[in-house]
Amino acid sequence: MPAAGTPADFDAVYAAQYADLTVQLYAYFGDRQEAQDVVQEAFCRALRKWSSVSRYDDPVAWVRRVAWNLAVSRWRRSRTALSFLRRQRPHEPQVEGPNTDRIELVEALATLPPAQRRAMVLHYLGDLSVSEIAERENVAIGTVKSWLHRGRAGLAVQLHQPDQPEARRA
Amino acid sequence: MPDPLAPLFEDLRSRALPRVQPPGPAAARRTVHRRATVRAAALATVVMAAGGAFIVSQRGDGDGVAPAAVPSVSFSAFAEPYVSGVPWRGREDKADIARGLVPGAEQEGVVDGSQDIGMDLDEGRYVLRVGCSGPAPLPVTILLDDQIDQQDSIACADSGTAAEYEFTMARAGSLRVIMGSGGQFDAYAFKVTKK
Repeated sequence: MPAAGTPADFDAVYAAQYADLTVQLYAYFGDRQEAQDVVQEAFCRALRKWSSVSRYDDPVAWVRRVAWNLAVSRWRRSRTALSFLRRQRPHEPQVEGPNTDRIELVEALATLPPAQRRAMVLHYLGDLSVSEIAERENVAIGTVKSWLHRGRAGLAVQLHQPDQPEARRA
Repeated sequence: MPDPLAPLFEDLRSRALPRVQPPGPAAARRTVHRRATVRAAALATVVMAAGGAFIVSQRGDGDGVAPAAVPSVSFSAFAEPYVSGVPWRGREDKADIARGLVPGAEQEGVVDGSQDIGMDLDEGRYVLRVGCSGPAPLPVTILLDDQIDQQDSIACADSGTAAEYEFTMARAGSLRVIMGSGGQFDAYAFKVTKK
């Protein structure tokens, strides 16, 4: 975070945030390259208007918001395309791709509905509080708590872990 | 009671972070620069296309290549402002001078950008006579059936200059005469005569 009145340096923000943001979006997408592309695109958009973004109280929040918006849009588009392809080729056998570096937690997250998955990732990897997620998603705090509760329950089933309903911090 | 999911997410973070390969801020700068360049080029293309449409509409000619049989454009058109936006250059009567150098001229006009004029010809030997008056040397390219036959630069001057080019059509085909943008604002007139 820059000192008050001092514009943030683009390279410094990039160096500090790129990897963290990418990991968050990787957990959401399940595809590291897709996540890297989205975060890079968010930084490109930030750079275009860096003279103003750098003077915001929290430029990182701006980049994070753009990256997540891009991620959600892409995920919806790819889901639509996938759904279309499946309708066109209903009898084609499904072949598993290479997944040597897939992480079990990422696969478990992929089974959650998008809102729950987003809340879980923002909470556990983005270190956002329930109220911050509620503000970001433009929903009530209770809705976020519900997403987190269901998300934890869903992951517990997938990972064969006992359900733990308590939030780390609210 | 500790959250059992917290260590799993920490593990995910610690395993995924080293595998992230940032393209780097320099790559972001290149992308932004490239996009700005593409936007500028696209804008220029739109402007040029609009300019081309304007010229075509001024010439009353729908396909951009003037057929030889079309009557000459009115010389009053030469007084119209041109799309390039550059001030008119050369003598006010340059169109009359160019036309005077080519009796019975089939095509005439003022170069603004480049001019591409085409016509169909029968087999035989021909002479192309070009007259020009204006401020710059006039590049001329003659294409027969879309193959370059001759290229020249006419030493155009305000007082008027004429040049002749002989060519042979081995069989019936097309003639194109391209007057390059180097001759910007030169008035030209030409006629093709079968020998």
